Amino acid sequence: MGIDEVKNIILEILEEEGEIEKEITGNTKFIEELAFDSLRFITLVVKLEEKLDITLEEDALLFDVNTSVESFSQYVKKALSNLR
Amino acid sequence: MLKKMLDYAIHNVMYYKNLYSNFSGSNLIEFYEQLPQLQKTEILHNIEDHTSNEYKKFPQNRYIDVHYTSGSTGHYLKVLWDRREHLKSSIYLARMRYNYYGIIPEDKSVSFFTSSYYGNRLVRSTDFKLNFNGKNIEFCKINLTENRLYNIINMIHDFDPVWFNLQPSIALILADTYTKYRYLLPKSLRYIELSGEYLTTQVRVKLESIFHVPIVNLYGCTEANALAFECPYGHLHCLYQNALIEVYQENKSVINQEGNIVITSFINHAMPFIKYAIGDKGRIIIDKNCSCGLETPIIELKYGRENSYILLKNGMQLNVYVLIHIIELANEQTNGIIEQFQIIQEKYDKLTIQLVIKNSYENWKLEIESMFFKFIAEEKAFSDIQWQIKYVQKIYPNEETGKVNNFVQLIREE
Repeated sequence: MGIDEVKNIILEILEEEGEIEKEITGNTKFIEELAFDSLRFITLVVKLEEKLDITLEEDALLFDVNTSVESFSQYVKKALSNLR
Repeated sequence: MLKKMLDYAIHNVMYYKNLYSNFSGSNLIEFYEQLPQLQKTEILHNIEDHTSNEYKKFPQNRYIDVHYTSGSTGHYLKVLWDRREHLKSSIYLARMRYNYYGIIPEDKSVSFFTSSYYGNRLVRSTDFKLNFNGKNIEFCKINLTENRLYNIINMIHDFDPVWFNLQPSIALILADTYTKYRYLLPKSLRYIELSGEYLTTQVRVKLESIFHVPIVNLYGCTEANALAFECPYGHLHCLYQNALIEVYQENKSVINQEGNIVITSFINHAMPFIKYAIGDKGRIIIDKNCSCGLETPIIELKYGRENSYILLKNGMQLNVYVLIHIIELANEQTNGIIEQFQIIQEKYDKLTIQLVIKNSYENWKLEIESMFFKFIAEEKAFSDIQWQIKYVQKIYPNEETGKVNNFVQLIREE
C-alpha cells in the first residue's frame, strides 16, 4: 500500500469533479499539474484518513514540501506503519 | 505542545524574550504560570514585539498572510499567520466536520464577508466573490436591502450549496427572507455552521425549523483559528490540537466555573498568542461523558464580552450581563419570544433596549415590558435610568464589524 492507494483517492476526488483525464504518477505535482488548492488538499487528507483509518501527521499538509504524489505518500506509509 | 510554543516564543518574540529575561524560576511551566494574561490592547500598541523575528526576514516571510479580526471590540487587530500553519490548523476542524456531518472542505458553500483584502491591502468591498475555484460563494454583508437579498437568494439557488457558513444574525436574515417570500431552499443544502456571534437557543430553534438541517456552532478566533466545534450531541468540544483553552477568574485558572476565556495557540508561530485573554466568557467542563465518544474538554460559552459595561453617573460600572440576564429570564417565562436584542447606552441615564419578537406574539408587548420593568426595579443601581423599549423588525450587523453587538456603548469616556 502507498502510492497506488494515494493515486486512487486522488482519482476519486478528480472524478467527482468530472476531471478524469489526468494521468497520475508518483512524480505528479499537486499544485502545478493537478491544480490542487488548500481545500482540495484537505479534502484529500480527510478522505484518505477515513478510507485507511489513519491519522496523518500535520507535516503531511505542507504544500511546499509535499509537492508530489510520491512525497505525500511517504506520510501515508508512515501513518500506516504506525498502525502495525 | 505548550512547552514547545513557549520555547519558540522566548527565543524569537521580543515580548516573551523580555519577560523571560526577568524570570527567575526554573522551568517553562512555571514561566507560563507567571505570565500575565495578554490583552489585545498590548498587541495593538506593540505589534512588532509580538511578531516572530524569524518571520520578519527571508525565507519565512514569504509564507506570511495577514488576517484581520472583526473589530467588534472597536479595534481591528492585524494577525500574522504562516499560511502553511493556517492550513494545518484547519485540518482538525475539517476532520470533525467530516466525521460528524459528512461535510468535506470542497463541498460547495455560502458565506458572507465584511471587508475585502487584496493581498494584505484593504480594498473596497465587492458585491460577491467566488473563492476556491468556485467552491465557495461569498456575499458582502453590507447593504443587505430587500432587493439585494432577493438577488442573493436567487444566486444561492443557482449555486446550489451543500452548506452555509454564517454568523447567526446573517442566518436569521436569510431565514426570514426564505420564509417571507416562500423561496425554495437550495436542494443540496444539508448543513449550516454558525460562528462569530453568540448563538442563542431561540435563534437555533428558528433556524432548525426553517432550514431542516443540522445547525452547528463553531467557536474560533482569527488569532488561533478554530477553538471548539459542536458535536451532534450539542457539546462544543475544544480542539486541543490547535490551542489550549482555559478559563480564568482573575489570575486563577478554573474548571467547571464561569470566567474569562484565555487561549494559547499551539500552531501560530508567526505571531504567538500565549495566555491571551480573548474577551469572551465561558466555562470549561472536563468531566462530562459526551455520547459522541470524544473525551476532550467541553466549553460552554456565555453571552457578551468581558469589556461590556453599563456606565453610571456615580462612576460605577455594571456588567451588561445584569441586563442580559433579565432578557434571558423574560425569555424563559415567555417560551423564548425574544429572537434578537440589543442594549444601547446613549447617556449615563438613558438606555434603549431594542427587541425583535416573534411575529405571532405582537400583542405580548405590554406583558414583556411589565416583566422587564419588574426585574429592573429589583436592581437598585438602575433606579435613575430612563428606559426605552423599542420593537424592531430585525437587528442588522454593524457595517464595519459585520457582527451584531448585543451591547452598544455610545458614551465616550474621557
